[in-house]
Amino acid sequence: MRMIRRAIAALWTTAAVAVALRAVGGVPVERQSGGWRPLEGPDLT
Amino acid sequence: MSRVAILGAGAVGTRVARYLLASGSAGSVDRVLLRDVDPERLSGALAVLDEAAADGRVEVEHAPFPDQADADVIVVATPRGTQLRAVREALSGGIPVVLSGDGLAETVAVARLADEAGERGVPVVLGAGFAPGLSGVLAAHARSWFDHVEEIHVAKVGAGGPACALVHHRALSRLSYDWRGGGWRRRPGGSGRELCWFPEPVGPMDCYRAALSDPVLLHHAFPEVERITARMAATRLDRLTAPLPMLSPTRVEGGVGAVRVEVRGRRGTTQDVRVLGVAERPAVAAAAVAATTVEWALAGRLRVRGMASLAEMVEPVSFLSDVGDRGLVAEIFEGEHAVV
Repeated sequence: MRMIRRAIAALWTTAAVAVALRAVGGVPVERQSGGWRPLEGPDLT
Repeated sequence: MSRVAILGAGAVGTRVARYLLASGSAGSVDRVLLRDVDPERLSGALAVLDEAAADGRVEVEHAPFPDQADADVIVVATPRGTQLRAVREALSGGIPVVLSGDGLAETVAVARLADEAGERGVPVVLGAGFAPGLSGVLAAHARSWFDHVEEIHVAKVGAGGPACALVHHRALSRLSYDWRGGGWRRRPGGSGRELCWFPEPVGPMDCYRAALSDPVLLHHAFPEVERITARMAATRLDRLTAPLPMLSPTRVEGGVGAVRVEVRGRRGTTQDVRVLGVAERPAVAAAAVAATTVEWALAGRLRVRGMASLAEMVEPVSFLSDVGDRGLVAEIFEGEHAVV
């Protein structure tokens, strides 16, 4: 019985950690240099 | 006298009608038939198409529908689960079809009618929307800068209307299909996070794998490309709730969305990357693409008399120019680390 309780507790803990990790996410990525410009002129030939 | 039937009077269908009926439109659509199962939605569409409706250029029909729609082109802008039947009926009448759907399963089901479309010589344009649709045309244009294209990666943000939002919601909890090294790789939706930089005002968004039809259509158009993937932007809440039914009602139309197409390949002896994109409200963009495709179909400008994706059907530069006249401005990313 104690074994089953421990197994259930372990499953709950794992699920809680997984949800927390999924919600928090990973390390943010720094902005890259560059930018967008309209496609025109020689780009559209 | 040209007549276009539009199935579905939602965010996309109504706008397609408005574009086609607009005075000074490049096409020559005289009449539009709008069909929808919801009379209220048809009333709303008629209110939007005010002037043309007053001139008697708009007809509406709600369920139960009469038999086959009498039209020169049929636009299918109905929710998932109804598109296959609509395409099958149009094909049986030998009427060209422009399909704006983006669901993976239904696109694959419709693609199975390719032999019939080819035998009948009827143009059927798959994925004539924002993504798939404009994304494929951008990929086709970017491809012209390379000697050999190795990879195409598509990412998108936003949904056209409630039906589109539901497709996206479900797509995050289903298997995605990536083309890699000569075969399809199935990966769980919601995995494979990648930060993608979209044209302003959208900017950077986390994107994930999802059950999207872009890779299937792009592989059909560019079978020589070794790697093709598609991702869509999602929040943490989107991913957490993806396996659940969509409980909260969606707005009639979302905000500004975007598509981004990254093409990698070889030019001469060097490896190169090109990133193209467009930012616009998805329903507006999808309608502009579908309406332009209809005009090309009426003018006999579509390249394939059978079933194909938009990227195979149109000449990319002219098509981008035509949708540009409707306010869809394609952009190119320039700078260091163009790819995140």
